[in-house]
Amino acid sequence: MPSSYTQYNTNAAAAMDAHVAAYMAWYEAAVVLYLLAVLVFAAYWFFRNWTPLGAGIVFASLGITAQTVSLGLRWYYSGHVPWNDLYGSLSVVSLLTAVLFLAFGARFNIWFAAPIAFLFSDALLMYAKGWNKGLEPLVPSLQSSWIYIHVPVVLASYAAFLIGCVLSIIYLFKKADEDRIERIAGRSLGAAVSTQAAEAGAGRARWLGWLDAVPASTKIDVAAYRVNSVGEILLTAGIILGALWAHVSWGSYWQWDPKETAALANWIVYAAYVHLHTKPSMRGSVSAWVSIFGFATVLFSYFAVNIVISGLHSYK
Amino acid sequence: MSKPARAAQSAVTRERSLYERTLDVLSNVMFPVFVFFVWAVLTIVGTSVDQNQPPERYYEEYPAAMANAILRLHLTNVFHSWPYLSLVLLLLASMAVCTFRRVIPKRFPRDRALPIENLGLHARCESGLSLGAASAAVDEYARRRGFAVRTQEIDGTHWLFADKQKWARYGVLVAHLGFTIIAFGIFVGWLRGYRGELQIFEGQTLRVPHAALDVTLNRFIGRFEPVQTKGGVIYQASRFQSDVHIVPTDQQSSAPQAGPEAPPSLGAASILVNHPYVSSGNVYLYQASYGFGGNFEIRRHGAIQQLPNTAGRLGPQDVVYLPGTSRAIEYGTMLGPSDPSQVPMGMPLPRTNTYALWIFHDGIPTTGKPILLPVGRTIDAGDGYALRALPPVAWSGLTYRYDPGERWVGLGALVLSAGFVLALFFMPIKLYARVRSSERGAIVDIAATTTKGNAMYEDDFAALVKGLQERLSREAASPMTETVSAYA
Repeated sequence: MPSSYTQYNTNAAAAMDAHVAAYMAWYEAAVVLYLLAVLVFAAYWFFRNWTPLGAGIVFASLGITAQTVSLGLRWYYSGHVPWNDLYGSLSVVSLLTAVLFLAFGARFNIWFAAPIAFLFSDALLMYAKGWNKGLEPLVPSLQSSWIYIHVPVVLASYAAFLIGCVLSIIYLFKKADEDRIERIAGRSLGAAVSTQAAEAGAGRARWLGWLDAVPASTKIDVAAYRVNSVGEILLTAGIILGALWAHVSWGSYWQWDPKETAALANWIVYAAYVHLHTKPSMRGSVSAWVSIFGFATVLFSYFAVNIVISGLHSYK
Repeated sequence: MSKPARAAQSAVTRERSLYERTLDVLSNVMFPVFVFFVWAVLTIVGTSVDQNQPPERYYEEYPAAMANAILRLHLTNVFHSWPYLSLVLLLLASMAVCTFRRVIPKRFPRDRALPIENLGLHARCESGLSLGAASAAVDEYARRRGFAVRTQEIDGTHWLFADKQKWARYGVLVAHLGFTIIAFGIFVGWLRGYRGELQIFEGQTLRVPHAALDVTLNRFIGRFEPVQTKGGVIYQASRFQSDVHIVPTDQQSSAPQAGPEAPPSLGAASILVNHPYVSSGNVYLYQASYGFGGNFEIRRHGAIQQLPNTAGRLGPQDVVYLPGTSRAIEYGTMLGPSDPSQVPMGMPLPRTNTYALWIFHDGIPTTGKPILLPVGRTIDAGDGYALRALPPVAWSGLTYRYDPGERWVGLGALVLSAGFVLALFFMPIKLYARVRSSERGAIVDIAATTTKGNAMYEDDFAALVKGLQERLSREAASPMTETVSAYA
């Protein structure tokens, strides 16, 4: 870390401002690029070919690059990992959401969810700006190698849950649409979709036209389950790594600190989700609502515990 | 059968039936799901409501009606309440029953001929190949796609039974085993472990309860960095370090041990945050907190008064009553170069360590603001008393802990993670293929089952069938293959 920050002198503020401005410029670029990715991905809903999809992936990749540079500069100037406060961690969640979405998109073919996923990712990034306090030294409790792995793993789980939540929301819209088509057609869904395409749009709000680009609800349910499963694995690993760090730092695996108990609540809800999904009658809408509820608990554990409820993990 | 005997048998039947019904409930997957939800809700409540606070605190924090509800529903200690513990026990019971009733008995489908059309994922491929050539192509294709293949000839029909990631079905069992090991480790730690806190002043020696260790704090170092922020300068801690000397109680020596006979983990040590000290008996000492004890010389009419706790042992809110008067001194805090983190933002950092304190007369503060008394200065406390500030004495808060169950917990965590990865990331697949002769060559019926539902494997199955069809078409278009096979 440059010594100018640790010296109380008249140049310190100016030096910090210059460095903060440098990484924030890349941050602004990432915000704009993600927004462009959202718009181009949304075009995929209507054109459904590789051109908007490819362009969206390019913009998203550029956004990821800009954000990586921004976080890298913050790391360089501060001399420690950039996810030591709320700005840094929100920025990392946003970055990981974008990276994981590209990976999931390629693996599970969920590009139809890209506009909403990147919109959420960009919203998180924009919200992070208000928490940017500049560059500060690392507090003693965070001066540990565990910070390199525990925090990113937990934040990656949040990113996966965000994508899972987006898929669940889309599932509910698609399921409602399928039910509507079934009601209109009065016969099997497959026949209704293939032969009554014109009729399919009847009785549906125009803004829901994008649902035609979305695959069958059962496929979305499967994708949501797979993504949430990855999130649950990451969260399990994150909690275990955190417990090991707590053992080294505080002398106890588990302190019943608000962040720990909130993370436990997240884990429990998603454990309920994966159990629920083993029962065929509970797949679909019930699972989707549990997935959305699960992400609400993630938001609670991330924001409420960091901002409102004070504890050992309150790093704003 | 006599009436009493019938009644007794009926009672036994009822009892067994109740037992069976209980097991049915515990092994139903909806039971743990329900318990999970109740557990999650209670955990969120426990996270939201401050725990283990005195009742008046709840009335300060919340509206009276809510505070009443919190206190009456005993939400002040959720995590150690018996309902909370009961939920965990219920889950463990359900997990045990599920493990023995559903997870262990769950066998992978046997290799046997079955009506393929009845399976959810099934498809048919037709080929101009002979039965033998088509069978060989299907077997080879499945092998190339990573399946472990076994074949049988049944009534002139070639059957292929194949599986992939068969071991993944042990995932749930491994995850449950991980939980059991963790629970065992926690139980061992609870049974035989101990932990506590030491508040130890510089120069003081304290014995770690339960452990045969004496700890002397030689020096405490607190380092703070002035940081320029948008709101102004703040002083942020960058290092807390306790330099201690640790000796076993059966080696009462004040001198640091040296030489080959000294236990390797005992003697002089530095304990920092994230860097605990570990004794040879596996007792951990952690840097947990710190502070500076108020240190005053109190005189009355020029004569030194020996009052309790004033010699460097005063903590925040400690009160010293001045004998013979209705006056008292309440110690606030120490701020200055030794602990600049206590300086409020916007206030300049004092050049020398300074005490913030109150002087009370008849229970009323004598000043509107705390009195700031720099070290070395004296203040008139009234009624002939004078208070002289001496350099503060640092203290360090050390947590000590012994947990013989930690290795079990660590092992359980590893097993649990492995089980989760197996159960959630991998999917055991069983493949069936039936190859029959037809007028135009061969008909291949193919089907698959998974433990996770058909939808989960639908796309991959479609790709598998497409690939098989292409393979069969390619083979049919290349007669050389068949010729060579026939020759061989």
